[in-house]
Amino acid sequence: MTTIEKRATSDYRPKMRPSQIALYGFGILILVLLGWRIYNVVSVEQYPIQFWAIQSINGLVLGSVYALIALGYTLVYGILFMINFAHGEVVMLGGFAGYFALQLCIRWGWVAADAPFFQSWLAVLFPIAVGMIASLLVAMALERIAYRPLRGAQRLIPLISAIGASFFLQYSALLIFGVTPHNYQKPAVLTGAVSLGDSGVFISKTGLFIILASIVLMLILYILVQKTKIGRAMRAVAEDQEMASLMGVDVNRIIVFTFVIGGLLAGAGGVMLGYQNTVMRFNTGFIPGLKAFTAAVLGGIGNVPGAMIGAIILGELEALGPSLLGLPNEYKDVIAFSVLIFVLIFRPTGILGERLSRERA
Amino acid sequence: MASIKPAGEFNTAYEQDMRFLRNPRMIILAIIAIAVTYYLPNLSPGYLGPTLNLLAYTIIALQGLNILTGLCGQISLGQAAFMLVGAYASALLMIHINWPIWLTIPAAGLVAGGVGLIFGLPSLRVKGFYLTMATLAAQFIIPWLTRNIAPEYLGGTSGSIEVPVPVIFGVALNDPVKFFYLSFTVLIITTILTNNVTRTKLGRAFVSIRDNDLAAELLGVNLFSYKLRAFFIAAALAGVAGALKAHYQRGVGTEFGYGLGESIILLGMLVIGGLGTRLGPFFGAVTLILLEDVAIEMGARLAEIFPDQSAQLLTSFRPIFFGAVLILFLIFEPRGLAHRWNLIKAAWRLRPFAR
Repeated sequence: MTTIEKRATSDYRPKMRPSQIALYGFGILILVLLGWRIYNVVSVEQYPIQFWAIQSINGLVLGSVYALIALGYTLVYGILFMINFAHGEVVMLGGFAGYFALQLCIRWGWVAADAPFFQSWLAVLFPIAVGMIASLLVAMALERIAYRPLRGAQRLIPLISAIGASFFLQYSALLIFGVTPHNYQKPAVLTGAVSLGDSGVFISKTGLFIILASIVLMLILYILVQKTKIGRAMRAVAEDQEMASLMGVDVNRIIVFTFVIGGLLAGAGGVMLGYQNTVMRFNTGFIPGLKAFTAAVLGGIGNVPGAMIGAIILGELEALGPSLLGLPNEYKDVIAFSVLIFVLIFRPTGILGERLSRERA
Repeated sequence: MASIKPAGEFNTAYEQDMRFLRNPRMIILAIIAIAVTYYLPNLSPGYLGPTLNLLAYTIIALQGLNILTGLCGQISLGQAAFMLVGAYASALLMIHINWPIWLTIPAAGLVAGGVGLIFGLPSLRVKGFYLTMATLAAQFIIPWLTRNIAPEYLGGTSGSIEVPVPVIFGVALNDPVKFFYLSFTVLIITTILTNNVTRTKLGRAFVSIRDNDLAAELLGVNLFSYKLRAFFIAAALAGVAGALKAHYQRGVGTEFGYGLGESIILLGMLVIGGLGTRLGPFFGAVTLILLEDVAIEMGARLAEIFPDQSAQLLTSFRPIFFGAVLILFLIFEPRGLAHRWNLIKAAWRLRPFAR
């Protein structure tokens, strides 16, 4: 067979270029080094199995919050092919709204340790509802003011506008709420921990609540996207905006709806971040926002299950990575962003990502 | 606008077309403008001295970013991190090897360029937003490395070292007025260099990659090689700017403003000035730095009116202002001030005949 004939066959794969071989060699080298380091650390430190179990549960909690935020990125990217850089600020503002709702609950006596069971649960859910609504409004305003006038401009332009909006919102929050951290007070039902049998492994009630609540929210989202009419319209717009509009889908409405869903999930994520970290500051949303974006890329951006899986993986990496590599805990941010770079170099489509067409990149 | 060609006169030769200074009057104007600018800080050493130095090194960093983002179309959020690399390189070379300033500045450019090449590697595989995120990672990894590696050289967790006063021809550049002679000279050199990039094969290859990378590849532009060159040039100019900044502030470290915020502001300046235009960096830097001075002043006034919130007002007014200005510019003047300037120039040229 000549080369041209070979190329015409369907299973022809071009030879790797030297630069690609060097790149993959470099990647394998780094993986080997990492594996060696992990082997050394694990065999020297001899952590008990309970330690790993507790750490991985922490990772799961972290991953659930990231998943809620990452879904906002991935939904918007799926529809508009733009990164909503200000999404972290939407999370933060939702968290603040939840904080003020929680203050109300404290005034009503719902948060106190002797509050009745039902009211104590209301004190958990009311801030989340308020946070979701506040984030929804912020996300809609963001879409209307910062993104809609720029639709149809070059790809780069909405990203820069999103960065400007992120700055604006973050420092407006600083102006309004001040620099001092606002402390979340946990309602009675969220304090304490549940131990799993007598294995010595325990999980904080807050963590358990966050995991369960995120699963419920994600199930609702899944049903919404897969089974309802508006979900079908969303998928149609993501597939081909023009064709969807020809089929009678109101594209503008779908885009606003996407931002609404992203905002709702972000608000829930913000309040959960507040319960988990017990503090809320003007820049609380920024780093989780970036991490969630990393998670979305890791799972394959534009892909809803991918965002969830990527977020869980990222949460686990952050929780387990420092102890596996024998590094202090502050190094978890660096681990997360190094993961981002490696994913971008070696598998830019992410774990579940579809083949990246030229148009979407 | 005395140097603009009147309506009806056209260039007839390629050399005429390629010239920066198209007629003798323009050469004279340029010389006068340069001389006046050199003298400018003397007028008010308290305000113009620091502001002009700030402008000079900001414009140099912007020129680099303009090549990468404006010409080659690769968005970078890591420009301030590359400035940090250049700043450390220049400072360390001067402290430990005693190199003179005219050697450390190009060396800082080379070192920063090398680091830029590393972070340009993902451009082999990814583009658009993904690449932006890779450069964003540079913005997190580089300052983190400077805080955690080699504390005896890089200042450790406190994150800063002192930088000696540069001496050139036996003159110590120890105040803003004297330092401006250095920074403005470097600015003139980088302006000539970057403008030459735009009109050579290199610049045309960059523009073709920005406009349509598939077509560029088919025309024989090696995408990877040219993208890496763009990253190198951008990071090298950032390194030069960082070196100037370090010697001007006499200190370098993560506390001196090399964070993500600075990178974002640089990108914003470029957008406001006009992406991919020669004048964009100048317009963007001047406009935004003057507006920021106004914002700081307004914040201070507001802080006087609301004394119990003064600390918040002083820290937050500038970024809020920046965010709002950036969004408004994108909505109402998306092609930047350089485009508006060209429109005004064209209107002036056709002055008697058209409005």
